[in-house]
Amino acid sequence: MSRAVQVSVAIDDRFLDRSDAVKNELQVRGMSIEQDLQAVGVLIGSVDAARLDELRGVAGVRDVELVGEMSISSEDHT
Amino acid sequence: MNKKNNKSNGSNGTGRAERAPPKAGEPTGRYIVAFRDDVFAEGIAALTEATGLSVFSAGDASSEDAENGAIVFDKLGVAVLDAPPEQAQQLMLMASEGSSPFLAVEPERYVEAFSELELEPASELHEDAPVSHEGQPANELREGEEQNAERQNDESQNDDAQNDRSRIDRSQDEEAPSGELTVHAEYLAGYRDSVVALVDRLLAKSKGEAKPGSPSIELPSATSWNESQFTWGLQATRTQATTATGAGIRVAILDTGFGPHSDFTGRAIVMRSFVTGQTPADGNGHGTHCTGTSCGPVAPGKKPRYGIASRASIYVGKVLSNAGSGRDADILAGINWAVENRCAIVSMSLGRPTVIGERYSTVYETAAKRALARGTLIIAAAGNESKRSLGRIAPVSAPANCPSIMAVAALTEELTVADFSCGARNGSGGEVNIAAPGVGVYSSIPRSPFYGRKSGTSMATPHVAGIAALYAQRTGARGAALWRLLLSTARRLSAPASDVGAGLAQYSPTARPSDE
Repeated sequence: MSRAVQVSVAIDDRFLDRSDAVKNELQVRGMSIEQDLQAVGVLIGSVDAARLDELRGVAGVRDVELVGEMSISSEDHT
Repeated sequence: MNKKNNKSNGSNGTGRAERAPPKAGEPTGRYIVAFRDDVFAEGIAALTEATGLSVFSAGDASSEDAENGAIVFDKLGVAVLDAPPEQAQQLMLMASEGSSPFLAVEPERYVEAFSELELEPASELHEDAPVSHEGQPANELREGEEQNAERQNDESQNDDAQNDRSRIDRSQDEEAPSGELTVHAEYLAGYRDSVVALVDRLLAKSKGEAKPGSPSIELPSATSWNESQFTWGLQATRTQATTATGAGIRVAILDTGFGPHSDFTGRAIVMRSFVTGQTPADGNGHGTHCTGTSCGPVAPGKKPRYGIASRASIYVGKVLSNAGSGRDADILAGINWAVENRCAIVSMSLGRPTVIGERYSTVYETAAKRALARGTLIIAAAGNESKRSLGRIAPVSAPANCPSIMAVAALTEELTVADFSCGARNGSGGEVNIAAPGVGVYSSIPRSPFYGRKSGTSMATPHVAGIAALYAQRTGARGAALWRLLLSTARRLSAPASDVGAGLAQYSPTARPSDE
């Protein structure tokens, strides 16, 4: 049984002016879009892990990556 | 730190001081200035102008001259002078200018104090003796040096050594004939060793033989930092005296949030939390520390001054929780928010470790490239996963490993790369682009005592962000032009570019953007 994963999607430069079409196609392939970061051409959302490759195949999608975690970059506090 | 060197520990050349024999590594209280070959006369003139000291040729100097003036050894192209640390630091900064007639300025130190009968060939002495250790507290010795000093003390129990010591002691008690310069053997030996060490390092540098991690010769050593007025980070980046303030420039700090902190009362700060369930207030302290370094005020409630772009408009995006971690989704949303708000600079003291061979994130790179094209420069911490003391250099973290994000390494107070600072182990964006102060950095924290020191590439990053804001204000540079300006004005260090990139980030009040 598969599970939902959070993803970030980078839209290709050539499709930035047609991002609505790209978003529609992503939704058709199972992505739930939570944020549209238009200033940088990135979408945030979730999808069933088994359908990740389907998203990568959408015209206008540069890449799809799993959302991970980051942390502060300091060593100590004296 | 950086008190005026204790002259009671060093011979002053007159033989009047009552004190214990100097130990290897101790500063004498004087400074050595090496002049560039082709501008020696200009160098002497500049030295006189900068210090107000009279200049005497070594052969003509009286003992009084030796105490109150600068003694020039014209055959060596070197001068020795007694100057207060603040003045010496100014000379060191002058030496860091490419057009300066000064090649280097360093504290004069004792290395070995032998009698004249024990003098060895300089090259042999240099190899065996602990020479000119920048970065070491002025009145401390390394462990090995302590052992050497102890061993010398033991050896001094033998008759020959006792005789040699007696000769030195006698020379201190003897009156010099009028007008004649009395110079101790130990002074001469210490002076000689300092000059030899300096010349050797200069020659090694010119041949490209400087060892990775060795300190720069162009900048003050750790013993020169005086934090009574400004943090060492502001001094090293040359941002403490500029009239640029970053006014009108929006700087986004994507971190654990901000404040509250009284040093920022009345300051316009736009804050937004991207962390579900948490306000923008900083429940960690990391974000407030970074904000302080990049945008802290000219006159904080308690000295030293720690902030660079004192009038920049602060945009605090809380993308990391109070626990210090956050999701890519929130960080990307923070970047998007900063670009939408026309922030010229985004400072991100955050990251995720990478492994050898790992490629950068396409999503982050895409976002950063578009941000850059829209005039927003993203500056990020290179990461802290190295253990250089154990031989481990970890690759630059994500997202600093993106080609369109400026990766910042951390430097120690000795201007060597910090033990933890990541290095260029992966190509294609995995380079270190620049370096900045990142050890023992003093800045604001949002709870009592409201100031503290932290270490990390996190602390180096906001130094670069602050400098970027100054440049953005003064020159109008944005995006890639601002990137180039930061790199072109960085001070080269002897550490390899894989560790420090273009070198120490510094502000130049006269630099202009290139036409590229």
